Amino acid sequence: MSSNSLPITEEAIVRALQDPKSCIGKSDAWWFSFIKILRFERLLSLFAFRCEELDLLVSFPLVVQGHLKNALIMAQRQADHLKYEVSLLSDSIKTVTPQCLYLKGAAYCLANMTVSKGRLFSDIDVLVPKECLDKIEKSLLFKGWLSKPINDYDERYYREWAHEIPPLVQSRRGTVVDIHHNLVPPISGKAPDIEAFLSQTMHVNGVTVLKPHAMLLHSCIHLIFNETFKQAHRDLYDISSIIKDYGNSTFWDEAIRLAKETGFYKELFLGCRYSSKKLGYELPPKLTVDVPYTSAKLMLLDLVMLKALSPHHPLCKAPGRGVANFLAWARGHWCKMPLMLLIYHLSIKSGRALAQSIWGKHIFDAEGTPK
Amino acid sequence: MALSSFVLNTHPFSFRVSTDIEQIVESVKLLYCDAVEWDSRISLPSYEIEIKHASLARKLFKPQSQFFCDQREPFLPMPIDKCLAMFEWGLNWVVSAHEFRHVILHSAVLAKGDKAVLFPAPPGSGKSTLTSWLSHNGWRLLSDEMALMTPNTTQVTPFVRPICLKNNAIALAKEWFPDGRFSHISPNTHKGDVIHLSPPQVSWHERFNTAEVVAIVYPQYSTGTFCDIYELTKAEAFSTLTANAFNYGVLGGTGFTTLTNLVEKCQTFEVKYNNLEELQSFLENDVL
Repeated sequence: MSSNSLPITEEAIVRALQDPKSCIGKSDAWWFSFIKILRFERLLSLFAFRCEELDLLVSFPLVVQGHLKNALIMAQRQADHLKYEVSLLSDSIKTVTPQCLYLKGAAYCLANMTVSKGRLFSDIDVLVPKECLDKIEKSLLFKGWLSKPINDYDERYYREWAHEIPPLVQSRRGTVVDIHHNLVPPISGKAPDIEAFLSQTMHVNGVTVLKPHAMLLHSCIHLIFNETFKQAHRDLYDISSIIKDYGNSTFWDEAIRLAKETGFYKELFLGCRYSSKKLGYELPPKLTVDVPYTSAKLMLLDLVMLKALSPHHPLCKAPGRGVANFLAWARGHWCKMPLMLLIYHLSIKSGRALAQSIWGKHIFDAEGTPK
Repeated sequence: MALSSFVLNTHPFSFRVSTDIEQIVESVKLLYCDAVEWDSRISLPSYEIEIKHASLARKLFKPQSQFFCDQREPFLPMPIDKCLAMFEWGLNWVVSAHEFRHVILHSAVLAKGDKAVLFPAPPGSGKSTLTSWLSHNGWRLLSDEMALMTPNTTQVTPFVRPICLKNNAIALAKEWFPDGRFSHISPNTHKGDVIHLSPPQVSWHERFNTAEVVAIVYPQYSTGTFCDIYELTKAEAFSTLTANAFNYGVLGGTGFTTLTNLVEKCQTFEVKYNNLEELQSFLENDVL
C-alpha cells in the first residue's frame, strides 16, 4: 500500500453511491481510493450506472470518467453475453429436464430488473433436479463445459456435502456456470424441500426465475448463510433494490410465509436488517416486530455482522473487523456443517494455510499437491 | 531496499508503481526516460501497481517477485531475475484486463508523420525485431505490443513503452544499436531470454499524438526468403485481425464494426522476409 493512499469510511462509500452528485469536487487522492474500493467490492459499475443516469460523468476528472466508462462497457457486455449463453445452456439442459431455474444475478438480468443495472456477475447460477445432475454435466461436456481442476478434498466437498457441483467453465468463452440442486448444502441439515421454492417461480423472457419475494429470500440466505463475507457488501445493495421495487404488503406476506415454511426466517430477518441498517431505509413492522433472537443474542450478532458486512478493501478501515470476520466465518461454518465434520474440514484447511503463509500461497498447485 | 514509489506517465494510461526491488527502479530509470515522475504524489494515475519480493522465507531461499494490481495478483510469483519481464507483462495485463474504451489489438504500431502501419503477429514472427529496426531508422514507435484503436475509426493512440526482444534478436539488436538503452536480460522465461530496449527519444516525445492507420502488414521472419509480399483479401485480413484482438469479445458489436471498417479502409499485406532494409523500402515506397 503506498503511503499516499487515502482511507475512506464505509459511511462515505454508502453516501457516494446513494448521492453520486456529492462526489463532485472530491480530491484526486479521494477518487483514487474510492475507485479501488468500488472495483474490489464489485460496485464500480453500479456507481457508473447511477452517475450516467444523472448525466454526471462529465463533472468528474478525466481519469475517473475513463474508469466509469470501462465499467459501463463491461456491465453492458455481460448483460448482452448472458442472454446468448443462457439460450445455449437452456437448450442443453432441456434435453434432460424441463426444470431449469435461473438464480441471482443471471435471473435479475434475464427478468430485466432494476437490481441488474450495473451489476456484474462472475458466474451463471442455475438450479436443476438432483437426479439429473449427471446427465446434464455430460450433455454440457459435449458443448465444451469443463470442470476446473480442483483437489480431491474439494471435489469430495462438492460431490458429497454441497448443494452444487464443481463450477463448469466454457472452454472457448470462459463463462462459468454453477449448477445447483438446492440453495444450501444438504450436509448443513437445513436444506429446504426445494419444491417450496419451485412453486414460487415465474416465466419471463423465455426463462424461469423465482418471484421477487423468493428472490429476496434467496439473496438473504446467500448473504447470511455463508462463512465468507469478503465481497458480501454488494449483496446489501441487491436486497435494498429488490425491496425498493417490489416491497408492497403482499410481497412481504409471501416472503415471510416462504421463509418460515422453509426454515429461513432468521436469514430473511438478518439479511433485511443489515441491508436496511447499512443503507439507511425502513422495513415494514411485520418483519421488525417478529424478532427470532433474544435481545442479547441479537446484540452480539449485530456486533459481529455489521463489521463483517462492511467493505473489505484495506482502504476502507473498520477497527475490529479482523476479529469480526473470524467470528462470522466460524458462525458460517457452524451453520453449514456438523461438528465432527467441521473439525476435520478446518484442520485440512488450516494445515494448508500454514504452509502457504510460510512458503507463499502458490505452494500448492490446483490439484492440491505441493510443488 | 526500502519501498520506493514513482509514476509512469505513459499516455494514455499512467501507473503509480511501488517496489522494494532495486532492479526495477534502475531499469525504469534507464527505459522510461522522461515518462517517469519520481514525485509520485503529483498526479491522479490510472492504476496503482506493486511489484515486490515475495515472503520473508522466499527472500532468503530462491528469491521471488510478486506483482499486484491493487488487491489482485494475476500471476504466479516469478524468480527475482525475471522481475523486469514480469513488470512489463504485468502492465500489459492491467491494460487488457481493465480498458474497454479502445479496441485493443496484439500488434506493433509504427508511423511516419501521422500515417501508421499495424504489424499484428503472434510471438515468434519477428515483430519486435522489426519494430526495433524501424523505430531506429526514421519511424516513430507507437507501440511494440498493443494497438489502441478508437472504435469505428482508423485512429490509433500511442502507448509508448520499451520494446521486448527475445532470444536471437537480443544479440542482433545490440549489434545494430550500440548506443541503445538496453535493460539486463530476464533469462529463461516462458518466451525464452528477453531484454527490453527503450525506443528513441522522438517516439517518447510524440507519445501524445495519435495517427491514422493506412495499412495492416502481417510480418513473418523467414530465413530463406529475401522479401516476398502477398496482398491479402479483406476477409483474410479480418480473420487474422480478430485472432490478434485482446478485447474483441468484450466489445461485441463495436469490436466487429471497428475491425471491418479498418480492413476495408487499409491496404492489407502479408510479408515473408529476411532482409529488413528491403521490407522498409517496400513500406516507404509502396505502402505509405
